[in-house]
Amino acid sequence: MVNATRHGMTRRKFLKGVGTATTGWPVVTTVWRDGQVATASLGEGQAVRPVTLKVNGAVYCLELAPRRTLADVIRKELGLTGTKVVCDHASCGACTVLLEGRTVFSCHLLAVQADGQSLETIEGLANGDQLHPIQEAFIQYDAYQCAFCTPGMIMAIQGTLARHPTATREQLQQAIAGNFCRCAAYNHILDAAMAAAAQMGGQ
Amino acid sequence: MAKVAMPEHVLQVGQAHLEAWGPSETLHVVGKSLPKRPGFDKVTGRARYAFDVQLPGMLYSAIVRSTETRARVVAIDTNEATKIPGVRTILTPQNFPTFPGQGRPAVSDQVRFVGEEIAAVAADTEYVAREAVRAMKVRYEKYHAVIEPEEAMQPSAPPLTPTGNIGGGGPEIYERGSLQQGEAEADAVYEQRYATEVQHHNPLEPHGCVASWQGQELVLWDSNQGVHMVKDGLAQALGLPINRIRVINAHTGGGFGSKNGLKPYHIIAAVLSQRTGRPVCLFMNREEEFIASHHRAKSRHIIRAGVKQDGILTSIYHRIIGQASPDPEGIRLAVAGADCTRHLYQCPHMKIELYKVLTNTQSPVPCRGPTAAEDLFCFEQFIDELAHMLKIEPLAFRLQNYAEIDPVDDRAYSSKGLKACYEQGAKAFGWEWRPPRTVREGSKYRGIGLGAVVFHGTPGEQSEAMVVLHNDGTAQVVAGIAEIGVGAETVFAQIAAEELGIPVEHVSVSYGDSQTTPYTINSSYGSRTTTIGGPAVRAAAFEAKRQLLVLAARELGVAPDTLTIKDAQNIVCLKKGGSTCWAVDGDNRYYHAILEGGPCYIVHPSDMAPALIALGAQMHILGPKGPRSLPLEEFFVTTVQRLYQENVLEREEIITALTVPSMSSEMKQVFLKSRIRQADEFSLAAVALAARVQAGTGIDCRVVLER
Repeated sequence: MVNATRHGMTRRKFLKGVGTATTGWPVVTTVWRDGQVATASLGEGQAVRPVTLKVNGAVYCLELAPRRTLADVIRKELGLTGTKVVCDHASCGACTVLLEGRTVFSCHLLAVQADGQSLETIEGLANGDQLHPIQEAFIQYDAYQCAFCTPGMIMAIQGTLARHPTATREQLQQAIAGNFCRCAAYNHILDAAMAAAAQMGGQ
Repeated sequence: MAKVAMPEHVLQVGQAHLEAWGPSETLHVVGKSLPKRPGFDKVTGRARYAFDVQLPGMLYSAIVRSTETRARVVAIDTNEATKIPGVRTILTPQNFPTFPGQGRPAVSDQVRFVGEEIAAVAADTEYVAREAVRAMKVRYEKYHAVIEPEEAMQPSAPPLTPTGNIGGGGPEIYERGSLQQGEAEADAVYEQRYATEVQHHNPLEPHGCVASWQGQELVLWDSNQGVHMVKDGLAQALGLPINRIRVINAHTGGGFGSKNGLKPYHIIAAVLSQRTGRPVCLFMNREEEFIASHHRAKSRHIIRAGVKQDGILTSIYHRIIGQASPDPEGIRLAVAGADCTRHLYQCPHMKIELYKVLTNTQSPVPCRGPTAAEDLFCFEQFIDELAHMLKIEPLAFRLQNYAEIDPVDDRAYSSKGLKACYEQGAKAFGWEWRPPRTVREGSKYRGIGLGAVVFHGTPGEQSEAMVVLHNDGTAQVVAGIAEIGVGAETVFAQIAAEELGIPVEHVSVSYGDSQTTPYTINSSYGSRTTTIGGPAVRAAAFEAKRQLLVLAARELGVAPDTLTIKDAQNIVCLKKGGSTCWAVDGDNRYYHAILEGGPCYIVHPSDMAPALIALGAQMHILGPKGPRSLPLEEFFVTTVQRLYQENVLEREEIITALTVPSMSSEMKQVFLKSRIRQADEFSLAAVALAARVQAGTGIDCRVVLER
């Protein structure tokens, strides 16, 4: 198993390892009605390897090409499109998810690096129709316009508040320092985060 | 549906004139601060953007973009790319179809800027598509390119179009009074130069779409600021009738002006989908957002003003050079009317020269106050400097030269609130208490400035909206917009609720599909979605209410104008948690026969069930507590026994079998139903009968009545 902490391993070193270790894995093929054969989404002609992810409490056993990012797999294999890919360079935070409770940029983590680990995405935060306090606060404080950054923002705040329930405004500002809002709703986002912190601390 | 041509302050619907709404105290919903819709979808990640659309068999596309600034593509070597497993189709200038439209095709061998589309690929995954793009080798014939507007204006510069490098052949000139006279009358003449640079929109949701041909219809899930404008543009570009194109986009992850109308990727995705017979997903990556999604152009300004010693402006000269692209469409927004300069101050002598200079760059498109932002910054910065130079307080200087009548056409304003804005604004940000000069804080310099902007308002435009009143008392606004995030959904719901006189919670708003919505607005630009679409929503709500009251008046036998809507309640069906069944008094002649009492007057729709009951069928059920079997008549229950469910199944139980006893030759059966039409239809009432017949007499008769 690969150690998948944010700075645990460089992508290059990792790919080098995978390249030699996985030769011979089967390729998943799809035959289309027009007769075309696709070594499609899973294999892409590369060797694939089995990956187990626990996402929002559910366990997924997948076979993935090693080059696929965690964000790509969350969105395209699991259909959890709440997680967004915006910069694809670990710079904007829109792809933020919690890996073993810690915030990570899922666009800059290979899915195989998360093998065997537990993930939480924006879809896992609400309990049915019962919104999480951060989500409630985002609505109440009008903390978004286009809302494309919202899932990443909420997960970044959740990652901090889950571990530091008494976080100050400055600490919450730090928590979203890696998240970009092009509509510039930052003040409202911080107001919402503070309100949520008060709400969660009071529970 | 209501069509609106809006005169000032009055909305005419049929014979009725709707006066502008009064002060907010008199209103119930409009003017109130409500949570912005659609909150729940957006905070749970369920809001589906075009970027999130995934269709079965969908291919991914990537575009080969020019690495040269000005060139002709001589050859594209696709050999390596074709060999990559998963590559399906490659479009090059050679095999790209010709469309009736004018101008450069979406994929072409002409290169006018770095990033222009010269080929495209469709592949099984985005990884493969990008790999294929990298594997293609392009050979160019390079030409002398010009990037800087100043360079493009030199006589020695290569002409980028047959008519030269200045759009329209020369500058657009505005003059009033005589610049020469104004400068002669001045005590001092001050000149300054300013520059603004290119600005990228960079919406978080990248530009792109998913195109899918469904039969003869092209369906496009597209990230845009308005579904109708993209639909119209695509119809024109592809030479297709409008009714064969459907553009879907409910939520947009930012646009800021760059997602209005058609761009080359729409056409490329449509062509790739047609070629492959599959849906094609084509979105830009972040690099492409910078080089190919179009931008706010750079501008160069020379401003010169003549002033009297006491601070009265006598003349203004303003020359703006705006950067345009060689595309005919790329000229319009290089620079616009210099409205700030023309309108802000009462200056008698003025000359403005506007140059739209063609360079080998992307086309300028609207970007957050197109051209006004550049003009505002440069011109008001200049006014500040001028005031400081004259040692006059900048706000006082502005008030001294305040235009009391429109300086452009010497007419009185219908209204002008700028003076009040100056006063309130100055108070709000502490203008009086500002530091005397720029303050340095570490690496940052802070100062407080002041400026006003003139931005063209929205002239009256035709707009359409639809309001549907449902039979449960709720209303639905149907509006042809994309919700770009600023709250049109909420505002439209408020307007409809106010006009209908029902709670805003009872109003939903549908939007984001060109096929199912009227033409409320072509695209949300120029801050005009509410001002243009809002009156249409109000007019439609007014008309819906009028029609409802006419119907109600007929039922009640009174005049419609004696009726009004008040204390509206949502009509909730008993089975959905309400307290009354509304079916029994309704207009139900054609739906079902009511043969007995409530509380719920639900109809059993199955003809099969009574027949099977008559035949003595048994239902077999399996659940956590083991198997059980029961006669079919005991399987169904009425709403008296169970309100929310029509059978006895418990949680996690499933039906495993239904058995019908074998019948002897003595068994006779009959099923009769009464219905309005002879065509296949639910019965008003039905009877199923099974009996053993011996010597012409029925024994063991089972009769089942259904309603």
